Amino acid sequence: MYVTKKSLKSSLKVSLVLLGGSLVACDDDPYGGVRKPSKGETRYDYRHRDECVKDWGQQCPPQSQGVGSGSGTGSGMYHYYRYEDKAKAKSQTHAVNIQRGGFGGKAKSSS
Amino acid sequence: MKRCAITPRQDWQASLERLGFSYHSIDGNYWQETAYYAFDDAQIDVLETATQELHAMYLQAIAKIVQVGDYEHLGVTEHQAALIEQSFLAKDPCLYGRFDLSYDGVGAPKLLEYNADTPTALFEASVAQWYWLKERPDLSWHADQFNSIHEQLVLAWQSLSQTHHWQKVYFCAVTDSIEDLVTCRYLQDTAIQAGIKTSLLDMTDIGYDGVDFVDLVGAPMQTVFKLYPWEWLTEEPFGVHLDTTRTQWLEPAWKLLLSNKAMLCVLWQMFEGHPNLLPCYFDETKLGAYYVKKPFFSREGANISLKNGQSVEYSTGDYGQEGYVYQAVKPLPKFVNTQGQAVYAVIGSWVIEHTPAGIGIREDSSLITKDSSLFVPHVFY
Repeated sequence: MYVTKKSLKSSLKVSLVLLGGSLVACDDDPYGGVRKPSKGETRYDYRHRDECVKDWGQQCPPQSQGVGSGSGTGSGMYHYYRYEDKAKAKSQTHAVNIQRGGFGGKAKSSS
Repeated sequence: MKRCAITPRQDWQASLERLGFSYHSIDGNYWQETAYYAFDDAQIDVLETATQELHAMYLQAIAKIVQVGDYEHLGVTEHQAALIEQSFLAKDPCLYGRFDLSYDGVGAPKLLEYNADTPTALFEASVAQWYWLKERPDLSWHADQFNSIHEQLVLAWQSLSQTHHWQKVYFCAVTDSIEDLVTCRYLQDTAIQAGIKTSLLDMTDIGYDGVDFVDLVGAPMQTVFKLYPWEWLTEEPFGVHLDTTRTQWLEPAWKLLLSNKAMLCVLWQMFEGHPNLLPCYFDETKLGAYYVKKPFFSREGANISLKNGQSVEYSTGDYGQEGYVYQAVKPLPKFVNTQGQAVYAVIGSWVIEHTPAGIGIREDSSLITKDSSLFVPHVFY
């Protein structure tokens, strides 16, 4: 009777893989396995390689760059990295233009 | 229902920190294990049944509102109403919620509010108090706990990800808030255990590329758990993109209505006299000299006024412009702590997907439960 009650009302086991000290399995890379640009480098993000080619011609490699081996295209985007002077970087490209900061204006949200 | 004094575990702070519960003593005192609450199993059954009934009533109420399209008096904008309808009719899934109940172990539990959109105190209820009991052999040999929250969360993630073919779930929160961060991390933890690929992002890192909400490398975010209220999402600059983007949000937009305290009035209109409901109106004159005034979207006990005859007890905050409801008073049960001071306990009863899963108890020296109220573990026999 006691065992039946426990199995209905209480977790039999509570294990943590991310919180606490037992980090065993976590895919918590907010960049999805895509390399952050290093110093002096600019990363251009495209939906398709074709759009990269419109900007940079055949300099765009056949495969997306900056993605770790074995993880395919990672983000599903096509990434192209260039070393260039930021001030001289192309301002008008076919790369995806992303706005940020449109959420999160308030400080705390729980109840 | 009893409050029992007990000697805390030796080195209880370290024990909690090993779990990742870093804010156990936030503001000086939060987790409280100099006492615990004890129920009998019949009382736990009463709480479980009440929780199930309340959740079912809420679902009936929202179905009726959406069917009729009547959002008058609910403080909901046209844009919010459209999002609510769109998500409810699409049967967008939900993950969790918490009812706050006034219950003394004798009468019927009474609904105070439903934290259906951004509930916290989850890790404390699901993990910290579970380990507390495991590490109390003096109690655990004969006592149990109403708390299958963790297992139910993992099962819910498994079921939801299979049904909706989720490839990856993003967890987004105001990461500067330790309480929000741990809640979000904990839910991410349970999703990982269900085999889901995950990432954590600050709310401000969510991007918009003209078509989709995107992550830090511009990939579309198909499924997002957000610990951020819907009424804020809709008001902020990216809110205008919510109905054109393809992101599936958890909690879904229809939770905006369930977490709205105006629903307390709708429930009373639909189910007047139900033993788990308190009379609630948009008009304060219907309740005489004793009532609780609550803003539609208040969180953590902010801007609540308790009118008790001539006297008024109130809490401060930034809510209320959206409107108020007036609810009959059901005082929280009063206990005496080890210092001889009066404390009042509120029961947070958790729903995972659509199933009651456990409780957590907060207590305060005031009748109004706030973010500073203490968390006290429980058992039942």
